[in-house]
Amino acid sequence: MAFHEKRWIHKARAGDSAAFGRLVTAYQDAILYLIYDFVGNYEDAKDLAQDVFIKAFQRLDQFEGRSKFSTWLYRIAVNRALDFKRQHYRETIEDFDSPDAARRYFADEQPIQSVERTLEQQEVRNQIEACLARVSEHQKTAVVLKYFHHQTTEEVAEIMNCSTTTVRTHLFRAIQYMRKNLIIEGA
Amino acid sequence: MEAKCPKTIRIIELLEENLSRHERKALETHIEQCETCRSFLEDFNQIDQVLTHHQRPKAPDHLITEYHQTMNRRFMPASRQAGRSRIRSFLLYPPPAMRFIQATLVLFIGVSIGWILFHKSSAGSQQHEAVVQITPYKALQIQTFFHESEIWLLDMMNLPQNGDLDIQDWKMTYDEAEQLLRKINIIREINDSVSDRRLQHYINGLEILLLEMINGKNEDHSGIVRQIRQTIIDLDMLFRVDMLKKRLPTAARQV
Repeated sequence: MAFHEKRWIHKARAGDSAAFGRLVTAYQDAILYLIYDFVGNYEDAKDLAQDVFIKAFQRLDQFEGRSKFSTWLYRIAVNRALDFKRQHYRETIEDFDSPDAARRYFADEQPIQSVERTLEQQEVRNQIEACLARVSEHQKTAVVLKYFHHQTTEEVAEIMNCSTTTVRTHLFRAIQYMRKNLIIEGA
Repeated sequence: MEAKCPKTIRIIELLEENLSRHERKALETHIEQCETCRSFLEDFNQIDQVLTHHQRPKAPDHLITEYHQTMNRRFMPASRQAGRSRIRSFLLYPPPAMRFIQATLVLFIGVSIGWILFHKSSAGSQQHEAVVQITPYKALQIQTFFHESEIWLLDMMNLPQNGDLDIQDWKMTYDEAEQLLRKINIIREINDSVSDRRLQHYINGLEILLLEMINGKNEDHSGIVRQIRQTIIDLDMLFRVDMLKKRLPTAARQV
């Protein structure tokens, strides 16, 4: 943990809201994108990110400093995002039923061939999102943290509150699923 | 259906470079021979590339701006509050250089207080020692004074040593006044050791009265004599109640 970050945390614990403001500024984008990766839309991600920081401020005394602050914050964010997902599970299922959403989530219904580069990227992105929407919650969490947010396996284990072996198992299963369902251009 | 190999999962550890040299070599040898693992490794490398370079849809600019503004409004304090909290945090968590200055200042204040207290207590103990550490000779002198004082006070009053005080017929000559003035110096000297304010008060008063009497030989000094007499009686009472003796250190009382 960087020295200045430690100082901000100490100050924030002492009730210095400006110091906590600095921590917010440092992590607000990462938390927004992390939540987006789970909930799939920026409007909800924006509101949830605020909740995450409020919760972090309230629980700052519980941060023991054994792990990185970002790891601790990511854990709160992941839990909040997954809670939100569970709460809106029914709505999500209904979304799947709509033709547009189905096209977005299911790779099978996406056009496989694309001419433009941007379309290729869009294609791969859609396929990844579709795969991640179908794997288990834990597998998706492991993939998102490991690949989209560049956390180490140890950090992912800490965020997910499980062992590194469990994390590797989740990653392995998610990748196995993608092997079968992800259609990569040029592969 | 694709064949399964229990060692496939270890490929992730291999790519994380989390294996020992021996384990790594063993697994690499295995992959060369195992079709399932080799196939997984090839696919995994591709998926790893795809996932690593995955780009989520860009958030709309207005949304990001609105988000940052909301976060600033919510978590960044107002300027006045920020100022207060900055002062508070500066005092509680100063930067390293300031922390050194603060520590030096605290150390300096601590040493100063310690020095003052030490000197105060040593001065007190010195004062105490001045009272306690009376030499046996001095103690004997004081005790003798207390013993003799009654004799000469009674003698001054022309009264028998074992007789009751009868001050009505008491008279004082100029010689007696001068003799008493000389003896006062002895009392004063002893009092310097004992530091009894009451005795000091009587000594000063008696000295003034005696000087007035000696200096005004030709005047009617009956009033002054009355005052001298009263002062001597008070002094006598002072000795009788043994006030000074009680104040003497044990060493002096035991001599």
